[in-house]
Amino acid sequence: MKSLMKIIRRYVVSAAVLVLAVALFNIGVLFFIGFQAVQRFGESRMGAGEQLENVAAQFTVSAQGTMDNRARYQLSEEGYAYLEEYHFLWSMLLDEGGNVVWSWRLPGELPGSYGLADVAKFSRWYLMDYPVRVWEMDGMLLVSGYGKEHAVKISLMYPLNQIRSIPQYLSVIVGMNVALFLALSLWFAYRFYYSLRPVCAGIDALAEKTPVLLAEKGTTAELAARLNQASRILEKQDQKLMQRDDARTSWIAGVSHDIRTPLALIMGYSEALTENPKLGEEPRGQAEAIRKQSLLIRQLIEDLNLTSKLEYHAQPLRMQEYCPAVLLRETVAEYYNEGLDERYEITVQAAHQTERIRQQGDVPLLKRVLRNVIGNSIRHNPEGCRIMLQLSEDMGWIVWRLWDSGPGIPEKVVDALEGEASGPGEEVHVMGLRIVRQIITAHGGHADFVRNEEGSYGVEFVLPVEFG
Amino acid sequence: MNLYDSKILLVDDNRELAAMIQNILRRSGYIHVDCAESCVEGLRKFCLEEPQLVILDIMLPDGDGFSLFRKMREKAETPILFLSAKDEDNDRLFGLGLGADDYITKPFLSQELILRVGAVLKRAYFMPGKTGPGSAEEEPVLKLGGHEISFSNASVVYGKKTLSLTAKELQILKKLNENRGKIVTFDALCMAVWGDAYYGYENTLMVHIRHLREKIEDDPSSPKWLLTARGLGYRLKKED
Repeated sequence: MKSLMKIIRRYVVSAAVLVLAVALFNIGVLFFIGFQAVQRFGESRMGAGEQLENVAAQFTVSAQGTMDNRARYQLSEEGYAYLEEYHFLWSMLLDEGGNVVWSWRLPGELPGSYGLADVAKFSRWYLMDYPVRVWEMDGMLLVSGYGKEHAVKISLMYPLNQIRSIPQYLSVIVGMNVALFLALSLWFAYRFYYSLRPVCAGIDALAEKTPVLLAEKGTTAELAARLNQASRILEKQDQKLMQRDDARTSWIAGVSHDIRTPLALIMGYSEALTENPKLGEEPRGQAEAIRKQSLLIRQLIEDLNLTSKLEYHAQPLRMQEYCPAVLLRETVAEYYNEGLDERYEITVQAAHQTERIRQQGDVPLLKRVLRNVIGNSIRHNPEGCRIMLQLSEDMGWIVWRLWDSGPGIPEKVVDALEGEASGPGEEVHVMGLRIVRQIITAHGGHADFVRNEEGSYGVEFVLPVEFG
Repeated sequence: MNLYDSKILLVDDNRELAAMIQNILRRSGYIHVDCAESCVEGLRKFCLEEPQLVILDIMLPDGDGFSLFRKMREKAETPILFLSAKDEDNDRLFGLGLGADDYITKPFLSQELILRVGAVLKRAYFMPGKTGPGSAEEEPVLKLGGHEISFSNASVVYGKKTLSLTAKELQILKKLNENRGKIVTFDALCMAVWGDAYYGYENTLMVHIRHLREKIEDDPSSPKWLLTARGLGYRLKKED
């Protein structure tokens, strides 16, 4: 509906712009043509009345020949020049009786005198097909004619009441125009929207990775066909990706499964050798090193398996209710109960308000997060350290913070986790922390590496209280 | 009969691994450990020898451990422990769902295997009220230095003095004694005493612990037995 309104608005606006542009153009063209016509007509500077007035002003009345009216009126040279300039073909002066008392280039077909009816006719229409202009001059009538093909005379007379109601007519016409314009705009907009609707639905479906099959007809047939084709391609790609992901996950799971039995042997025998009193100090130490490395391989296999599953969403979260403070204490207590070396101390600080909070989450996975980060602190501080775990609540988010009194997470590890490439020859093992981040992300939170006051890095997990 | 006299049957097709496990169990004191390499052999030995515990691999050459498990359970309620390289949650849940007593994934620590085997055997045959190859007697008296605590009487005897324990104190002490030497979190203790809806009882727990110390410690202000694990919970110290 929102998009329909948008389309309608755009349609109306563009139609209005179109109409205005065309109207303005036409008015402009009309003015231009009119101006050109007037200029060509030689009346660019003055009206017809003014021209004849100019000519009339050039007449002089001669004192001689009182008996002969013809001799009494004379036009100056300037007057003749005016007649030429104004494109008149001929001219004559009629007295009160309608007789020609002066003439210039008068065509022979024209009579020498005119009655009232003649004057009335030619002043309004034509004189023997000559369009003429008439000027009253001291009771006389100056009549000047153009060529027969020179001009058209139009005489207008309208009833006054009709002229008075022009504004009303105009408003009705404008109103009807606007209504027609709006109706047409709406209709076209709706048609456009209607034809686009299936295409839009198709694009939405594509965005949601749903297969698309649109009817390929109407104005959007070509577009629909393209969308159908894109959908088919995406579907195929998706299937291939899924197959590849599945294959990779199964391959990793298979390899890790096959490694487990030989590793069990390596671990078992190295343990036996470590505890064998018949062996000397050195071989027992070597056996212990094998045992430790085997444990590391076991951890790596588990991490690799889990990380691939988390990455390809092959590990469903088994959600259950838990209290973050309880989980924290339980995990730390487990470390102590498993015989934590005395060189290490793990302290837990849970803010009072966190005790009440119950969240949804995959508890074994979250416990793994804690064990991963605590285990890292222990592994990277062989001389012992103090590990601090802090739990607080901040505006609907639970914040877990962990840092230790050792050098913290190395900067190159943080860089590797943040996606910055490590330097040449540097191998950074970040799988454990990557898993931590994946698990936290899968729970709707984020894991950050925070520099503490001493400048070393600690970790901070922010999880939403409401999740799932 | 003691724990180490228990007969254990190991079904695994990897001879080397089976030999190693046999070795581990023997070194830890189990005398009767027998091995089978297939489902058929495993079932035959199960019927013939009537072991007290079976350690079962899942992927066997002539079938899978889950089916063998079902067949064995049809014949006897012997505790069975899965030992497998299959570490998928689904496999683990399936195995435990069938009624297995434990599920260990390969590779494992020798100590872990020994502890789990021992725990399963104790649970099955050596707990009070259990019948089987051995019977364990309940130890009703807990000795903490000069203090003797009787769980059945809910009393503490110290010299000639006898103090009685309240029901809550007894529950707390029992829980700590069950996990002796280990830290029991506030949450686990509160849950043991007040059940699931324990929130808000932490301070009450502290009061009970104080009273308990007055009864079982020589000097309650510097306790020797009931120790505090700061920020976590409490621990009942093992005897030196």
